[in-house]
Amino acid sequence: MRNSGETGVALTAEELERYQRQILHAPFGQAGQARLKAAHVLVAGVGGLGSPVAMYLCVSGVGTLTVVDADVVSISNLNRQLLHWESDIRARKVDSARGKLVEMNPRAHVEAIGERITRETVPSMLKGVDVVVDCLDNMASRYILNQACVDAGIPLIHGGVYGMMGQLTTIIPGKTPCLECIFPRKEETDQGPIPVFGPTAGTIASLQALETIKLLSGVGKLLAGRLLYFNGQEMECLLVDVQSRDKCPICGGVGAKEGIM
Amino acid sequence: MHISVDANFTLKGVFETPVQWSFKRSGVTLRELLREIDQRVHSITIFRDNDLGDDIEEIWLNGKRFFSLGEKLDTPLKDGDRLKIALYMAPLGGG
Repeated sequence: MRNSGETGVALTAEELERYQRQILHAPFGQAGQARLKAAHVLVAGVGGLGSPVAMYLCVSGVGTLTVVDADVVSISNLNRQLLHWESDIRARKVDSARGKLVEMNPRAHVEAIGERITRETVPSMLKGVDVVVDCLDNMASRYILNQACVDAGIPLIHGGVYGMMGQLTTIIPGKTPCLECIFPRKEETDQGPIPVFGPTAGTIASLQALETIKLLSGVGKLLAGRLLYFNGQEMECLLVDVQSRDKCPICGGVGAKEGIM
Repeated sequence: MHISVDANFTLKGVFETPVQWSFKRSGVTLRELLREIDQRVHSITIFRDNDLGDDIEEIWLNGKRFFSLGEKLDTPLKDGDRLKIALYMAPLGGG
């Protein structure tokens, strides 16, 4: 057993071998791996985004993963939701996901919560959580999650997709604009199913997982205060500097400047 | 004629701000400049139907907001003018 740094978490010989290829990345090293092992990440939604996010974080050695989703698997999920297979149709997504994740990495502790994210349910979901990854499929639930993360001071890695387009940003309460600063709330109309290609969700989800690993390990430059917009149809990647909104009802507009430039 | 263009977004290798936008002739209008930028960046609608595109939250010409420009898109540009563009990002709701 090797005690790796300030977390006081020891890595076993098996873990050193299992995670060798990422430990070899010098800025990350054993200390970074130990931080992942000590971490608790909540993945909100285990659909097109949440499946790859949960898979990558699980196999990367994140110690505790909580997956949250109230839906059951349907056949129209199978073009993109990699954790769910044809044999899982009608099963709860969290059960389908947990079964695969535990098989991928039996050392990971995976908790499954098959509930909707509401103002009432979200506080207990966030207890003990270090980072939340937003893999939800609607803005109403995202706003609830954003407010809860701001209130609890928990970083939120936001991702969203539509067709061949996707976006992500990293929200650090008290330091960066929150989700409502970036996307002020508007009345959401139910537009029915939206188009999504699996590779688009996979691209954004992989970047969300990488941001989570960077945030937990303290390695690299985060997408904090910046939004990456991916247009797969035109193969363009825009980086947008996002600003806090003065008097934001959720975060108060931390660091808001006059104007938006 | 050179116009300084700044924005709250970058598109690596295509539109990296601040950038000097050059025209060989004078008498260029704001409309012509925005149309050129729009044609370079496919992911953003900067200009549409003689108005600012849906993706634009605000533009400033020499510090003045768009709505306060009397001639709007027909505002003539002069050498050394400074344009700033702020992008509005609509959320992508799917997951």
